[in-house]
Amino acid sequence: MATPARLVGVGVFVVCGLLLFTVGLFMIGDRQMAFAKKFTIFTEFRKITGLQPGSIVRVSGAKAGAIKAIAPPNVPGGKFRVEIEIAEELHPLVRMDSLASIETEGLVGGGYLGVGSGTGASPTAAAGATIASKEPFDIADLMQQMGDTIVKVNDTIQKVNDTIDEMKGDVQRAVVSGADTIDVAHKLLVDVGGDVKKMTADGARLSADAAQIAETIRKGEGTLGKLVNDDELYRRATAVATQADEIATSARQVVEQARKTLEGFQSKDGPVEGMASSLKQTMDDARKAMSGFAETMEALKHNFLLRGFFKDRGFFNLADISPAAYRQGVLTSDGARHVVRVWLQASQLFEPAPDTPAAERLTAKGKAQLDSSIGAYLDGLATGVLMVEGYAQTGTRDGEYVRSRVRASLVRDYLIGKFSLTPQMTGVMPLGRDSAGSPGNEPWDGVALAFFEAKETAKKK
Amino acid sequence: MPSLSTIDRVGASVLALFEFVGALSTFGARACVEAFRPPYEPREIARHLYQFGYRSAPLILTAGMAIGVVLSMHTRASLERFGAEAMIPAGLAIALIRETGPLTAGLLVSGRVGAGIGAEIGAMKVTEQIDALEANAVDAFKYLAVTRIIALMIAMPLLTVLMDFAGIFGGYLAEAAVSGMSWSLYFERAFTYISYSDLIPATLKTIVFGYLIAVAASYLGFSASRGTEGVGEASTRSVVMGSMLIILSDVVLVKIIFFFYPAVSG
Repeated sequence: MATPARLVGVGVFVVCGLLLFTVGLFMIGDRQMAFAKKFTIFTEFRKITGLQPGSIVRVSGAKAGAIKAIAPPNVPGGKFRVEIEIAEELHPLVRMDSLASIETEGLVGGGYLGVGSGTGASPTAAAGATIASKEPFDIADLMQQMGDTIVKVNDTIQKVNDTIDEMKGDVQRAVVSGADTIDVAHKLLVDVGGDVKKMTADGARLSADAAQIAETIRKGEGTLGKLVNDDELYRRATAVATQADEIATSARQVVEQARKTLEGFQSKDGPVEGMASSLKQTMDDARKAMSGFAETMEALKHNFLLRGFFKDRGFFNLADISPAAYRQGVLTSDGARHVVRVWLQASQLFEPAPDTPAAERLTAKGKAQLDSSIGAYLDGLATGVLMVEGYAQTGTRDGEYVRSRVRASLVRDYLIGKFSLTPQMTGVMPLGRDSAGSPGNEPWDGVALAFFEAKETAKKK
Repeated sequence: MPSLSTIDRVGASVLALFEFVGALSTFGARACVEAFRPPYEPREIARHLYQFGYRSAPLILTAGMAIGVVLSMHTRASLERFGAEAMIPAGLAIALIRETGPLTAGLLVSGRVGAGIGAEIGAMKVTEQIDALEANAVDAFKYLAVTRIIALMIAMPLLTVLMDFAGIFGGYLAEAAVSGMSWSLYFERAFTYISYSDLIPATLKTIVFGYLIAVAASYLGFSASRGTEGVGEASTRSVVMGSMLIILSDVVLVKIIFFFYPAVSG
């Protein structure tokens, strides 16, 4: 029998069940904003990845409504028309320039439709309006793009291969041209052979000189002979002999390397690359040997034991000549040279530097004047010496000296750069206010180009 | 008794199966027809509703809450790897409302109520109480079977809703213990991805579950024989038959729901 207590129990059971079911319905309706005042707008997508009727719609991230319906396109390539219901309270945020996009909640979340809040300048989207959309980008699109890219790369590689095939003939012609170039290089090497022989001869001559020096020492002649029993001098003499021996060894190595390279070139079976490499290696070795040779020669020139020897043979270092020695005619005392001076005024050569007015720089007019002044003496400079004398007449004595040196250096650097003069044969001489021999014996403010020509050259002129 | 060949035995089993299905279908169809004919026996329906629904509620609530806790723990373990702990309430709610709640409720009711119906009607059958009712001009089929079928068809959706919410609450307890999430936030997130097409069809399909459980159990009760042994057999077979019918019918019902509500299939 259904007692009243049982009926109460049944009533509680039924009411609770229905109530919970209603709560569920209410929650779903609330999520879909089924009980809110809404307005409808539309947007269109070519792909509706993850979207379906009932999907959430968010306006600027806020839950705003749901998708009411999705109408498929009538033709391939058409767009799905998505009907969106949005709560009226968010209507002011939805403008005509608002952009709809398909978004995903988190990494594994479902898709929802995001509507960006438009700009204030754009009017509010009216009910029934269609707003713009941004097509979704998914992994499939990325893979498709990668596939297209790979196809393009393959096409490019194929084109490169075709181009290489077409260039085979050109490469063969280039090889033939390379062989011709090697022939030219061979001829060049033959020409270089003369220089190498000359280097060898110089080395031999230097060896002879060294032998002569040693013989002089052995005989006890001159200062060395008097001090022959001095251990220190003996050690230095030994060093000199060693240096001379190294020079001769270097020269022999150069000749030997050149000979081997010539053999390599002359061999019919020798690889082209090997020949070119040998030539390059030989030239590098020759350059290094000549550099060492020059350094050794320079060291010998400065060796106090041999300074006189080299001086007698016409060697000197312009940087070591003091103004006093220069004025005494150190460069002409041996009677082998004749000096000619060209006087140039500072006002015609220099102007204040724009950034540091205290300093000077060459003017264009001054450069032109230098060019015309040196023109007649360029031939003689091959065997002669150019000394740029600097003069200054203002300021203190030390200031005059510095200014005269700067002026001379400016002119020297310009001439070396412009005419590729030998730096060792082109010097500067700061003479301050002492301008003896100037035009009219007037105090000279500027520079003088002193050309020290060999007397044979001067006679030929 | 002459022994039958294997083919004869298989054939006899198939024929017996068809005979059972036919009789059960006829029984079920007759119940549908009789349900709309007076007298409607509301007091008897209420009594059964009390037995099937109210008395089953503690079992359903307890089981639902336990399932919610377990599901929450499993879901957390999975979603945590993707940093998607916020999806736990929604994932659990979808699983419970769409399938786990209705199916579990159906199986539990089949075990508790189906066995009771089969045993009760079977006992009345073997003790000739049904014959006595018939002798007193009472439609035993209508009075005993139809009222139980209707009561269970009413109770099942309600029990399912109870199980759904009990499961969600159990999930909340588990989530609150781990992350301290508030009930309002959890409940809000739980219904984030739930739509009407998830809740209504899944809940209403349990009416079919109730119908099948009650029809099978009533039929087996009415078919009971051989004394108490027959009663026990009817009770056991009611549980087995009811559970099997629920699972098989669920396959068909889910397919039908997908057909009418494509959004549910995702």
